[in-house]
Order: sequence, then C-alpha cells, then structure tokens
Amino acid sequence: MYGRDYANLRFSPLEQINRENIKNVVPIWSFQTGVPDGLQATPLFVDGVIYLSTSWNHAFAIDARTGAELWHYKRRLPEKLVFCCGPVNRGLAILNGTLFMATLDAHLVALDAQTGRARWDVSLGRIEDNLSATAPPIVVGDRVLVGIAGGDYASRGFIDAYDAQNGRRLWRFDTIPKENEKNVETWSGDSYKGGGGGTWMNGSYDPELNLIYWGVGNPYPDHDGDAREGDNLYTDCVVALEADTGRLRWHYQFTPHDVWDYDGVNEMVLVDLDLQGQKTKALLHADRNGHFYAIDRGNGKLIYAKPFVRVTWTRGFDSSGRPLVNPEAIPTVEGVTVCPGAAGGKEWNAMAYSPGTQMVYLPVIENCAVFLNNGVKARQLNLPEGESGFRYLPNQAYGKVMAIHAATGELAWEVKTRTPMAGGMLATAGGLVFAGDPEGNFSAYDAKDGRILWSYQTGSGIRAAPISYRLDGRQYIAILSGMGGAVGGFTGAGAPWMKNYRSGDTLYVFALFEPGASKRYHAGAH
Amino acid sequence: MLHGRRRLATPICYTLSEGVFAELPCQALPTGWILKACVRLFGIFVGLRLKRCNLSHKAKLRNPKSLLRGYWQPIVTSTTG
Repeated sequence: MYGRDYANLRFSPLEQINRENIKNVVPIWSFQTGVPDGLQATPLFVDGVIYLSTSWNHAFAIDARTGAELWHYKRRLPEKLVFCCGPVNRGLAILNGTLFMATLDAHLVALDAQTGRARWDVSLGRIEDNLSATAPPIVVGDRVLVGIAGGDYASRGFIDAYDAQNGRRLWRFDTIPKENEKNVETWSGDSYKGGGGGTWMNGSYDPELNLIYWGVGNPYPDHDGDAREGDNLYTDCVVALEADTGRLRWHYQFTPHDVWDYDGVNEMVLVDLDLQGQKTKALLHADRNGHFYAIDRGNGKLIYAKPFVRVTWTRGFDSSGRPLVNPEAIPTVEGVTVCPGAAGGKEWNAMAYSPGTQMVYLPVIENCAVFLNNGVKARQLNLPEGESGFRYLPNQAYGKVMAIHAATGELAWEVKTRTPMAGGMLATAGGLVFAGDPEGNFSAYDAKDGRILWSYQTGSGIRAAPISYRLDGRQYIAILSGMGGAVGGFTGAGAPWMKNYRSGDTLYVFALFEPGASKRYHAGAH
Repeated sequence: MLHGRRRLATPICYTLSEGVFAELPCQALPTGWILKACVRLFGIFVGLRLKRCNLSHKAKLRNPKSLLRGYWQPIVTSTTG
C-alpha cells in the first residue's frame, strides 16, 4: 500500500538492517527505466514483485529478486496536455491483482498486475478544463480513491471514488462549492467557477471512524488574492470525508485565502497521541506554509500548530485555530519577501513516523521568496497588469532532515543539508531513517539523534521516497533516483548550484553485504 | 558622413567629408542627435530588460529595492501540482 498503511506512517517494522550493521549495506541491483523527466513515485512491493510508475505514465513490474523486467506499460498520451509542473507520476495503488494509475490526460487506469494490460480506463475530467492527474490513488475496501491536479490553472478540484472492479464512479467530492452550495460565499463573485483546489496527493483513511482525510491544494489564481476575495473554501484544507459517500464531515483550513501557493496537499499521518494521559486520535501534517499541525481527526479541532521553519506570513493563531495573517506578507506590485517561499517549508514529499521513537521525520526546505501581485492590485493603481507569482532569493535556500516529537510538536533533532530536501522519508524498526536529497545522496540517519550512519551517491537527484521489504528472509531498501519535474523551487534560484542538475531514471535496491550472494541476483542464471 | 573625436587634451574634432579628413572646432559638430540616439537606445535596452523581468510598473521604479531584489530572477507562477 502507498505509504505502507492507511495511516501513511511510512514505517517499516523490519529490523534486520539496523544501526549497528547499516555500514555493511551495499547496492544489490539497479533498474534503469529509460524514462527521463523525474522519478517521484514510491514503489510498491507485492509477492516478490516491485511495481513502479514514472513520468509520462509508464509503469513497470520488476522481479524483486533479480531486478529483471516483467512487463512495461506505456500510456499513449494525447499531444495536448495541461500540467503545471512536469509530466510526473507519484505512484500506483494495488488491489487483488489490479494496479491503478492516474494519468496526465486525467484518466484513471486499471492494469493487470500479471501482464500490465489495461483492464479498464475511465476519464476523471477533461484536459480542456485544465485537468491532469499525477497523484497516487489509494484503495479503501473495494473502492479506488483518486485526486486531480490542475489547481494552478482555472479549474475545479475534486476527490473521486471508483468501483475497483469496473471503474464506475461511486461518488465525487468537489473541493470548491458549486452555486448555492454551502460555503460558496467564501468566494467573491464567480471566482469559484475556476478556483483551483487540486487534490494532487493521496489521502489517508481511518477504518474505525470510516473517514478519509485528504489535502486540498491552492486556490486559483495562485497569487492574485483580490480576484477571489474570501477564505476560498475548501482550498488549502484537510477535508474529512465519509468513505462510503464522500460526504464532508469536517474541514480545517491551514491557509485561509492562500496568496502564496502553499497548497494543503501534504500527507496526513494518522497517529494516536497520548495527550496528558488521554489517548487522542490525531492527524499530523507538515504544511508548505511552515507549520507542523496536530489535529483531532474525529472533529477537526486544532491540537497544536508550530512553525518548523522560518515563518513570516502569520503571527500565530486565534483560539479557534485560525491563523492570524500578517498583512505585510500579502503580495504587492512592488513585491514582498515572505517566508517560507512557495516551495517550503516542506513539499509534498512524505514524512515518516516511528512508533518506536514517537517522532515524525520531515524533509524540510528553508527558503523565502519575493511574492508579487500584478493582477487586480496593479489595475487598482492604474498600472499595467503583469504576471503574478514569486521570485526566489538567490543563494539562501537550504534543507534539513528534522525530527519532531509527535505529542508536542517540539524539535527533537535536525541535520542541515546544503540543498533543500525534496525526497520522502522512511523510518524502520531498525532505528533508522532513510532519505534522499536532490544532490543524489541516499542516506541513513540514526532515528534517535540524526547521526548520519550511511550514505550512497545514486548519481541523480532524489525526489521519491524509499521503501523496505523482506524477501526470502532478507531485508531490502529500495529508492528511485531521478531528478526532474518541478525542481526550480528547490534548486534553480534558491540553490543555484543545482541549476544544471543531471536527470536520472534508476531504481536502486540495497541489502546487507553477503559474500558470494551476488550470483543469486543474476537474472539469467539457472 | 562619419564623425569622431580624438582623445586629445584639447579636443579637436574631425569629420570625413567627400573623402577628406578635416579638423574643425568641436562645437561645430552635429553631436546632439548622436547623443540623443544613444540615450534613446539605452532607454530601449533598459525598457526591454524591465519588461522581461516584469518590472515595468512605475511603482517598482519608485522602489529601487524591488529592482535589486528580483531583477535577475524570473517570475515563477507555480511550484508543484
């Protein structure tokens, strides 16, 4: 399962590879997909087979013992596509021998896991409506749930549920209310008609509450807030939906009236916290807006919100949990410097939670940016309209691998990295945390104190998250290495030494060194 | 017709007329339009640079900090999706 479980913990209970022997871990085999433009997926491991997706909607099945290709699916995409940030795909879902992939032309495709042949193919929406799909679907019961991308254009976001057997749509939750619906008044004029609100990452699921938790992206236009006055619900929210119907139970808005493109799509990690001796079903979330949140996942009430990077857009929170926006951080025609920049404090790349340490491990981006509004504001000043957006401040971005105590939101430890962290995390019962960086270093950290215990240079930047699996009694670690997609935010201007990064296309698999074992990995051996 | 100026302590200008160089007092040279053209060309160059960087607003020109801050960085309109 994507994220390993419904709670999205990204915690592996495997402990064969641990603090003591990590130094003996070596690459076992690698698999080159031959597909450029970025690898962002978390692979799936099922019954001795690794499944992964790449940019341009390729999918591969690979023998996890040898690295041999079992099949290769390539989506035939139309020439005209609308996607903002690279032709990427962030992963697959699987149920009973069927894989599910969302595609750049806004379809959901079911593939036979044995052969890679399409079983069914349904349209999520029209390319003409500025829609595309890059998110990993999730499976809940016999339903496939999937989000949509396109929120950086005039579009309308949604979360869909489909019958895994035949692709019939079961329900849809519109992330922006329609005319006369509740909360449509949080949009001025008819701005709700194309207000964005993409859902371009995966959700989480609590089987006890039967609720799905899904993050919603930014409103459109991204930085011209005057064109869409109001809170702009349900953009930049986590929405809790009834799994059977898609009905909204509650929502919490991380960034009301977002004018910095902070989105709200980052993963929701479901953890039961011990708060003053009382067990609380919580949802943990590290937002692009720079705050780390704990929310009661039963009712949506804020437990705490604490900045984990430099934050200037807000001056704290009121008693209801609503952020108090700093008026000096609202984009202007002159430009205002705001922290975090649009890429940070943490991108969509998943954090991990270890029940052992009760810490959350985050890939962090420290940066600020100059935000400009050359839309309505320029018109009001009788100035010519121009492009609204942001500029990165050169040479000021850097990264961190950070550990936060889940119960309190307090920092446990952090390790600075030269380049902003833009890959996902994995925690293991072996007391380790694995993460890759955009310079290609794939590293293992001591989960307790952040000491770097092991590192391997993969040759290209890492944007994906690692997995661990056991096969024939041996523990493996796997990671996709391949820089691409939207990387300017992390590298181009903020960290210019990464401007001329090398693309890559490789799956690496690691295990403990075992003398004489290499011949077992020869795919052609008999 | 070509015009030029020697690099001398006492400026003496010359002109090429009908294939013959002739020295004549500088103030007699029609240098005004050359200067104007240069200024205009420079203005067009700067204007194009500003337009490229979307910094042509008067408000921005009133605020030189904004020029310095983002002059060489392109405007980015979105990050990921």
